[in-house]
Amino acid sequence: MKRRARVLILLVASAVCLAADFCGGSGSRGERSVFEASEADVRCQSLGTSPFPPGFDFVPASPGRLVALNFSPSFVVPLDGSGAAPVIALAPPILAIPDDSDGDGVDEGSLAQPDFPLLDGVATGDPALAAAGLGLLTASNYEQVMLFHPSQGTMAWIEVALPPSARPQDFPRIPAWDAPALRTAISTRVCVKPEETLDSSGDDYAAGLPDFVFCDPSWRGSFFANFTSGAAVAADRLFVSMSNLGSGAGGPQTKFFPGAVLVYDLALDTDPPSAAPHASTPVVLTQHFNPTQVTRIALRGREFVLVTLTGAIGIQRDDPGTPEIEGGTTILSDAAIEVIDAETLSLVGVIPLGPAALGSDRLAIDPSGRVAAVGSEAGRLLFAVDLEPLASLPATAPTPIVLSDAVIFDAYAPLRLPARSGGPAPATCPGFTSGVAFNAAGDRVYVSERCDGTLTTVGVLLPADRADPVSPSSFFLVGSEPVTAPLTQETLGELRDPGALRVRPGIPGVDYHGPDLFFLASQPKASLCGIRVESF
Amino acid sequence: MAWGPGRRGRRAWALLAASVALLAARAIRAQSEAEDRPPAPEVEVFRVQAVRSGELPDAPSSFSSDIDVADFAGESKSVADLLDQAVGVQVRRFGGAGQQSEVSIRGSNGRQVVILLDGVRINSAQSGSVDLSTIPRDLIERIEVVRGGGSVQSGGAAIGGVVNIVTKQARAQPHTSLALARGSFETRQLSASQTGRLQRFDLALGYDFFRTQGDWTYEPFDVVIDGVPAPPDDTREIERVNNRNESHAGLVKLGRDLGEHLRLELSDQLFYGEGGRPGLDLPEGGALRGQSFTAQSRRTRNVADVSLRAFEWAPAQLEAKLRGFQRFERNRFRDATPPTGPALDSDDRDTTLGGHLDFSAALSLGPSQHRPLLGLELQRDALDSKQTGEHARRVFGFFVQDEIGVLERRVRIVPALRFDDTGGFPARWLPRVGAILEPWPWLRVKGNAERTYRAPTFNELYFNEGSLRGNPALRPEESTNYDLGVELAVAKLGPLQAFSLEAVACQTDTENSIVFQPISPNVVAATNVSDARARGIELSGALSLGAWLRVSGNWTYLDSEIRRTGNPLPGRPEHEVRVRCELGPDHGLFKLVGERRFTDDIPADEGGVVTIRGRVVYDASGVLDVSQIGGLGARLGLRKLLVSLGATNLGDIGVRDAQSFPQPGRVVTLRLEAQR
Repeated sequence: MKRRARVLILLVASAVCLAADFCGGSGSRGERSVFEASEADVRCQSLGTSPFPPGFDFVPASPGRLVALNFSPSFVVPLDGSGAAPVIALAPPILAIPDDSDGDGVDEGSLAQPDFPLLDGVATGDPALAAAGLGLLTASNYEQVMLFHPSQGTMAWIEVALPPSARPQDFPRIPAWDAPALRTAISTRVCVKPEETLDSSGDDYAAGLPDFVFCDPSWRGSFFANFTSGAAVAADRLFVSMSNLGSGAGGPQTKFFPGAVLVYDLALDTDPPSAAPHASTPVVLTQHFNPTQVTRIALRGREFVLVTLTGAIGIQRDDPGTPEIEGGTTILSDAAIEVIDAETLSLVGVIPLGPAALGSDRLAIDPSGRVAAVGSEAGRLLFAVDLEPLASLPATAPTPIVLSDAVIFDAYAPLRLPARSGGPAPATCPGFTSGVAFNAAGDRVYVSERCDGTLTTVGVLLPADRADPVSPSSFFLVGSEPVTAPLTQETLGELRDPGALRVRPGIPGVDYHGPDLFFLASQPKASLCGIRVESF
Repeated sequence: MAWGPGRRGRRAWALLAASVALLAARAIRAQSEAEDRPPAPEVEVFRVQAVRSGELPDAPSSFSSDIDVADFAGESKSVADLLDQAVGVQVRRFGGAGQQSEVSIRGSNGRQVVILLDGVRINSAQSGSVDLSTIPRDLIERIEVVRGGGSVQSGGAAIGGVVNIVTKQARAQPHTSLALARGSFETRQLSASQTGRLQRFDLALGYDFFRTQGDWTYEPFDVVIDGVPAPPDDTREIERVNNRNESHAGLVKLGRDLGEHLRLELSDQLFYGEGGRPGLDLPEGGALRGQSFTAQSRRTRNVADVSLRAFEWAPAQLEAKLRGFQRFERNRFRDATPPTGPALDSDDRDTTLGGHLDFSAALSLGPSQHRPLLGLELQRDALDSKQTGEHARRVFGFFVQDEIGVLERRVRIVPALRFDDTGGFPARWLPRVGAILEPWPWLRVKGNAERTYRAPTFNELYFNEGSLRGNPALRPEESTNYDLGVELAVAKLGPLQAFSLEAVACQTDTENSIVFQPISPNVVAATNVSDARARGIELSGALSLGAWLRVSGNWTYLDSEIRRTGNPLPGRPEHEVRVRCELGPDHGLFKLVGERRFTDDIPADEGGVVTIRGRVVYDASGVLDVSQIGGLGARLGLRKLLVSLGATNLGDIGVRDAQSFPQPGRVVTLRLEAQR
């Protein structure tokens, strides 16, 4: 071929590529890049490619079945916990949270909607949810509660609309009352209007601010709720706790706005199911700060919602005068469990627990419904409250009744759990008792601790007569065993940081064999682990 | 954000730079003198290939690679692409063209490789690494890679090795080069350089401009969990947003002989870059995967140095070099609306001021020949940063080395010792011993053992941003390196010409590796973790088949593990294979190049839980020297006029690199390069 022809071909090819913007490729040919996650431990099942799984729960009416969340990518992973170790179930499929997570026709994380949901937790066990075959997924950033079908691995549609009396600007992502729409999530971006505008440090957060910065310019100090944390269904209503982070996140002086629990009317037995902010009480303001969970209980025919108020917390500042790096939690305000009557939506009771930094997993309720236990984000501590005094709470109360006699263990007299030898330095990781769960018989409560990687068993002996108070001596340490490596610098790459804990429903050895206790491990990557404690 | 000059201003600046280069070329040519300068110490070239194994004068027993940029004339390869050609070297990319990339040698991380710019260390004392995208390829002449240590001459941090980037040298001989390139995703590049004589000075001038819109698309990655595929929530392609990058780089060098045995050299190299930083690919980040629309960065680096070199002092061929240098680096980052959390605003200024004094000689003592080397260095690093605070430390080093040759230098022993004192850490002695056995001219056996270390960076010590923290109590990383290998070179072996082969076994044992990890559920901090070991085999070879075909390739095998768990070190694939075929007459009319790059599965975490599946990528390019057609070169007064068309990732496959950063698919570039 002549040189001139070769040059001509080269020039033509160049021109073609110039015209096509240089034939830049999209990287879409061939196999897509694949990230592969494998088992971290013979007793554990990987959930995905990121650490810090947000939560897990059992699937009601499906023995041995669980769903667990992976943070990134946002997956709901179905698991079978019937065997020697949990495994990913063959069916239903893994549910990947879609880009349009609420089904409103606009993708999140786009130019049109820059915020995107970050999974925070899952709830499947409330009776109303179980009857409807539904589960809840809480998500912050793009604040909402998503609905899904745990047994099918699909998002669930619900008709959402405002009540006629609602001010639309207070609920910017909920359709107007006269234009209900199907959604796969209920928005928790709600305008909260507190009477007092004091933040967790006692400062007036509204001082000096112009009216237009408030979500309702006519209500000084109003703000859009943020950090959706927990969700529960009681009395045909959805209750959602909102932590309402103010400023200073990640530092020692984090500030919180007044806490709130959002209330939505639910009709789950209709087709399609429907939800709407409660007409008269869409928001219940809490007295303490940083609500991190809501738990439904039934007591003497009444339904209550117990709100876990962790209290304002921050991250400890490092002290350059010490060789260790301080990594604990700074407690900035008191914790409490506050009680909402699910029927009247009145905040009727408060169980003060002092500077406890309560754990953010669901309250562990013993099978008899007598006591609730919860861990701490600031120590190897267990707190517990007697639920019997709640039976005497009125249906409504102008100010909530302080139930000091309901306290079994609080910040001033906690149940202290043993530390592990060879664990991290106390200043670096002073203790995080994340997961708490009662066994089926109710005579044991298990507590996971993230710093040491241990599972502590606490014996429980409750009085037979509910009229008798529960004293601290009803709880006694049985033992503590390592279930993962401790959080020390040498153990990088090993299974560690056990968190949320659940006991399998049923009687071990009778209703099922295999693991009876399941927990989430955060590192090296998210894993769900199962162990036999009483089962065989 | 209105950072950087406007479009009109940028074009004017580029045209002005090119005009200055051309005008300077005329002035320099008019004053050129024919006298030759004594050349700087040359690399002893073992064979002639694009990437050569060789022997560097100051590290004769080390296994090294020499990359001559002229051998890649016409090809649109960046410095990162050139380094990727070398055996034992892995480049980690954090995006496409213009985005950050760093080098790893023998399983090291980017902070464990010392990068020199004409012998001046440019590793940031703040971060410890060097972003290869800040080094424009058209302003460099060659790259020397020393694998496995190098701390004796280069000081601490050379656990993986040393990369010396040699930029355009000041020469009396006039040479002008101008290159223009246009590529995919609105990528443009312009570079101009000129060497020659100006008054009594040898001169080198250079300018490089680079700009890209970077709006390539990619697909989300698939996730497979224990063999169970997770469904992709969407199969749409995602566009890389806020990925525009623009940079300017300049180089000025002056050299002058002060007598017969003395030379003065001054150099200043400036880099400025600014652009968007879309960030990591977050699978939970919705339709655009959590990319930041607003994050912007601006980087400035200036390296200035002055050196006085004395050479060829008889009878011992004594050479001495006194050098003073200053490196200044400023990194600014802003994001008013990050996907989560509060606004970000950082402004870091990082300065190093220092000096070297080196002596070398060549002498005989009885039956043995010696090449002693002595060096003294002192420098001060200083940092002014919002997140890390103000910090400073001095570094003092003294080293001595001898190359002892016996039996007509067929056997050489290279003992060396360095004393290193980095402020805030105990001073230490770093010994090294190397040996070279050359029974025949075509065969060389080499081996080395070395002790080296790396002091923590300022970020590792002092960074403080909420839940991410440095650790002032960190201990330095300590490392022992070993290697043993053979180099073979035959000028002709049957039909094969210029056949060469290098095979090396190596091992690096590292104690107190510094890693950021969670130390509590609240805090991630820099910590010293358990020991790590990296064992490798490096196999590289090249040959010519006749005058038209040249084939080269290398295989790097790396078995890395965290000793306590046995898990592989993240980011290090077990196998990497590079094969390159060149077709065309040597120094002839055209060159066709085909390349195949295989990268094995990449472990993505310390737990051995997640891996990124491996890939095979094909590149190709064609270069035509138009100056040889119809006497065009003579008519235009050009030595070369190269027109090239190249494509990387021909198959347009999805590629993920360091920490799951997506890479562009196929990239096509048209380049025009003129030399006179």
